Order: sequence, then structure tokens, then C-alpha cells
Amino acid sequence: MLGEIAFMSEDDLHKKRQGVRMKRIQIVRWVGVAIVGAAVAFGCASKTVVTRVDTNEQIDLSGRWNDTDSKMVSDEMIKDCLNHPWLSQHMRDKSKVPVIIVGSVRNKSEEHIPVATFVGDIERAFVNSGQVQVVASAVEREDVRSEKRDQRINATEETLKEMGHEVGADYMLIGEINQIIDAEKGEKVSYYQTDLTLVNIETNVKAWIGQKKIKKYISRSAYKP
Amino acid sequence: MSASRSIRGPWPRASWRAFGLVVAAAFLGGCASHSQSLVKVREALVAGKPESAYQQFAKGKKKDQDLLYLLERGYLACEAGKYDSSNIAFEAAERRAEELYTKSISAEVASLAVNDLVLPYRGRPHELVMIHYYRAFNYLALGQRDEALVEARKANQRLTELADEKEGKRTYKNDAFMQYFTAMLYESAGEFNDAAVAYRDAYRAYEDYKTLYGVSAPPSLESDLYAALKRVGANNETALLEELDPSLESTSALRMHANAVVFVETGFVPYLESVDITIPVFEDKDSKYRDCHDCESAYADVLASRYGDNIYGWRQSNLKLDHVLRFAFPMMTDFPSQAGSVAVACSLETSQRPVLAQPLGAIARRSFEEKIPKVLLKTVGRALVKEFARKAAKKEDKALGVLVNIFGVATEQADTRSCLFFPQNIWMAQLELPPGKHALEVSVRGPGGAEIERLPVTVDVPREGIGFARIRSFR
Repeated sequence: MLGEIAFMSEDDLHKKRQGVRMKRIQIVRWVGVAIVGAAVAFGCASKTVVTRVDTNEQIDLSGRWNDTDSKMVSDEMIKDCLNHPWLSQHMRDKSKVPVIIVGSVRNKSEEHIPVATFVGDIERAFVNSGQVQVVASAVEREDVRSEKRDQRINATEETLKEMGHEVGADYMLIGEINQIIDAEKGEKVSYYQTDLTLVNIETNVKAWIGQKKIKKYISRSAYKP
Repeated sequence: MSASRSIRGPWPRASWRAFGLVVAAAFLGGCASHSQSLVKVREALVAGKPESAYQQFAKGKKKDQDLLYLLERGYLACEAGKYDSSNIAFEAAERRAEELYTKSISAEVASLAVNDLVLPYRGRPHELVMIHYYRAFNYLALGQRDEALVEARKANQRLTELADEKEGKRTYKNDAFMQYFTAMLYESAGEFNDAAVAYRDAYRAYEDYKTLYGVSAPPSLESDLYAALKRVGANNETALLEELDPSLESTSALRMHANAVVFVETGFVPYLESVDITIPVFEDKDSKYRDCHDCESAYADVLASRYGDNIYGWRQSNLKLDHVLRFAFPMMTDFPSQAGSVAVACSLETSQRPVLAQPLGAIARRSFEEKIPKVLLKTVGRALVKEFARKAAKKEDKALGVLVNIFGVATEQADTRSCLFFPQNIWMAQLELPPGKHALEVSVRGPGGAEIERLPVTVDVPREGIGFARIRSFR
């Protein structure tokens, strides 16, 4: 090989050099393509995209309990609750709107459901209906009482709010969220059942029992490109 | 000679190859195994400074899409007492694990050409199950018992899916310890049906533990199961258990009073190290001998004169390096643990000797050993792919062949990822204590019985139900 080159003419040598140069350029191109390809393949570029959406828009990502479920269940159940005879019966007997306290809603599902949000949705649906009054929960009441105690020291007499003027609730709403899951490989059926019970605080009589079920089918493909 | 230099460039070919190998070696030197990259974190844990370990870990690069990172962050935050942060990390880990159910074909193919590290870490089944143990304790520490129960249900669901997936295989397909733990959580919350189901699953799963890991069920399980079955009126099953052990009725009546459970975690699970095999392959000058049928003795003379009895003889010979073959695969190594047994002492009760309930180290080892054939097969397959690519490139151009070889050598790395900080063993002690907070002392003892560490732990026993506590010894 060396001998071959040594006896080449200047012209042939130039051509040979050109050929080698071209090959090198090709190699550099190959390496460049490989590096760019690797960078793209291993995800160097990821960008966060944020878009504002309507709060009523139904968006399901993972299939878990989400804001849409919370709102849908509370709205429908409270609508059902207020359409039942206990309300008219109470109005007839007491001649005033019933006062309700939303008690505990136990999460007995397999997900960490933010129960406080769900309770908030229930209270909102009750209050916005205008057919019942809702009183503060035990924790909220403590805050309010603490404020009243503070007012006794710091507020003017005209603006001072007296202790012992609270409205007692007639009914307590309690309930639980249960879940049944059936899963096999990439497929899952998730079934939520929410049970709410309205209990007359004075008599312990159950005035209304409501139930709302949601069934979701979630599938994941085993492979992607 | 001068003409040859001008064509090949300023360096001779051998120097280019040597340069390439130096670059490849430098590249490899920069890639520490997973355990090496977290040595300082582990040192902080061993020194009994979990807060410092968490800070050290958090200082590193944030990898929110990496399941292993999330698992380790979740664990370290839990150990540092940052229960909310721990739950956030573990929640993200669970979601990531779900996303990873879908495998990327392009990444799978890339792993055959590069290495297994291009694949996302999917987590071992036992690692994913342990998420629920730590999250349950996070919620218990936060005073959210209902949320701890959610973790119990999630754990049972995960184990049901695992059992379906591994049906008929002699492998980790149920977690006896988690079943036992969740049963106690249910019992504590008054959910006796769920408790009975989980106790029953734990009882069956410990039978597998005995054959797979040589660990028997804690003696208390049988009476706990008996009591739970009796409570839900499963008389047929209680009768069967009584046949096996006639004293069960009396022992379970006594056991009904145990209302405090302490889990003592010791040691570290084994970790993965890389085994690297590098084979230099020289330019083939011997083909004329090999292709010739009557040249055996001549070829033997050539080889004997080249190498003699010195395997490094090639260094003195005029052999030229053609290319390098490199194989890398993981190997499991035990992290030495000094803990041989533990004892739990309380001023109100005599010292309790906890029993081994979860041999996590043995589970991790077996799970790895089951994967070895697949890993080795893939390593060989990858070496073949790289060798074919090198040969094809060399046909086009020798320099390109060298480049492909350098790329192949530099990218050949073992997948040494595994969750490093989980304990090797979890021991369980059950005590009978009056309601309220109790300061206990855990004594960790070496194999000879001498105390090597004394740890304080507080258990809060409720008026109804069971009080749970966990403590970790890193010795």
C-alpha cells in the first residue's frame, strides 16, 4: 500500500486525497447524525406547556377520582336529596328551612380522595339551592368561636358578636366512598359508589339515603413506538 | 513514509486507536454505578443522620420522571420525618410505575444497541409493594388513619394483580409481611372482614416464604388468623385450624389483647455492581495457519514463541490491536449488616424478642437471580449487534470501524439500578400496653448477641385498635 502511494503521479495522488477527504466528511456526517439521533431519542428536549381550561371541562388523565367526579357526584346527589319528601315534610312540620351540617364522608376507596373538596362541593350544592341552610363544621366552628373570644377583648361594643347565638343543625349528612377494582394486564375497571345518608339529629331517623355510582374503564397499551 | 503520513493524517493509525480507547475509558470512568453515585447518602444514613442524607440526596439532579429517584426520595424523606414530601414523592413514583406499563419499542431496540440504561427503571415488584408500607406509616405519623387504610387497600390490590401475573410460578407473587401488616391495619380500624381476608392471605403467603426464603410465619399469625376468622363467623376454617393446633382457642384469646406493634428495620438490601469484561482482539495474522490442515505443529511453534508461558506476551510481540470487545452485566453484592437479632424493651413489659417478618434482602436477591439468564442473554445479544455493526462499518472504512468500536465499548454499561436504601430485614414485635404514648427501647444485637445499637421509639396506643411504630437501624 505504501509502495503504491509512493509511485503515484501528482494527479492520482490529488484524486486519492480528494477521495479520502470525501470519506472523512461522510464519517463526520454519520457521527453527527448519530449524535443528533441519540439526543432526540433519549429525550433531551422536553418543554412544559400550560394551557388554561374551563373548570367545567371534563378532563380524564389517569382514570382516578378527579374534580369532575367530585362535582358530578355532589351536584347530582344533593339535587336528588332536595327532591325528596323529607324537605317538604320538614317545612310543613317546622315552618322553616332545615339546617344541615355536613359531617364526615369516609374514604374507603383505594385512592387518596381529597374528601375535603368533596365535602366543599356538597356544601356548595346545598347552599346554592337556597332550600336549606348549612352550618359550619366542628373545626370551622372552633375557629369562629376563637374569633368571638378575641372580639370580646378587642372589638367595639357595637360590633361585638355574642357567644351562644349559634344555629343548631336539624340534620347531619354523613357518608362514605367505596371502590371496587377489577384489573387484568393493561385493562382496569374502576367502580366508585358514594353513599350519603341524611340523619335527623334529634331522632336519629334516616331522612334520606342517596347513592351515586361511577364506572370507569381504563386501558393502557402494552407498547408504544 | 511521508506520503503515507500525509494521507492518514498527522498520527499513525495505532495512535488513533489508542486515543479512541483512552476516550472510551474516560467515558466509562465517568459513569459510576448507582450505588457508587449515592455513597455519601448511604454514609450519612449509617452515621445515623437521615436528615443530612435527605439533604445530600436532594442536592443532586432532580429527576421527576425517574421511578428509582422518586422511590429513593420518598424513602429518604420518610426517614427524615418529612412525611408530606415523602407521600408526594411516593405518589409520583406510583404514577410513574403505572405509566411505565407501556413499553417503548424504540427504547427496547436502543437497549440492544446501546445498553439497558436507556430503558426507564420500572422497579422490582417488592420495591413497589414497599411504597405502601412507608406511605401507611407516613399517614399514621400524620394522624391520618383513614389514609393509612387507603394504602392497605392499594397494597392488597397491587398484590392481587401480582398474583394474577405470576400465577403458577415459584417466585415472589405475594407479600406475606404486607398482608399481615394490612390485616392489622384493617383490624385496628374495625374492618374485620378485610382483616380476615388479609390474615388468610398472609398465612398462605408465609408458606411460600418458607420455601423461597427460608422464613416461617411469625408465631402470632396463626392465632391472629384464628381470632379474625372467629370474629367473622368463618367456623369451617376455624375448625380446620383447631384440628392443626388444638391450643389455638386459648392462645388466640390471650393474643386478642396485643395492641402495639413495633417494626424494627435493619441493614440494607443488597445492591448491584457492574462486572466488566474487556477483551482485546488483535489483527489476525494467523489465518494462513488455521486454514492449513498440515500446519498444526508450525502454528504451535509460532504461538509458543509469541506467548511462551506469559499470557501478557502479546505486549512484547508485534501484534496490533484490531478492536475491543466489552461485556458489562450486573452482579448483586451484600451490604454487610451487623444486626443478628433485635429486642424491644418497655418499662411496663418484659423485653420482647421480635421475629423476622420480612426478609427483604432475600427477596431482592432471589428476584435478581431469576433475572440473571435474561440479562446475560441480552448482554451477549448486544455484543453481537455491536460486533456486526463494527464489522459493517469497517468494511466501509477502517476509521469508521474504529469509531463504531469506540462507541460500542464506551456505551457498554451494566444496569446497576436498584433501590438502595430499603432494609435488609424487618422484624416485628407485638406488645400489650395501656392506651397512650409509650417510650420503648430497641436493642440491636450482633450475631454474637452483644448489643451494637440502642434506639428509642415511641408507640401511641389508641383506646381502640392497634398502635403502630417503626424504627430503622442502619447497622
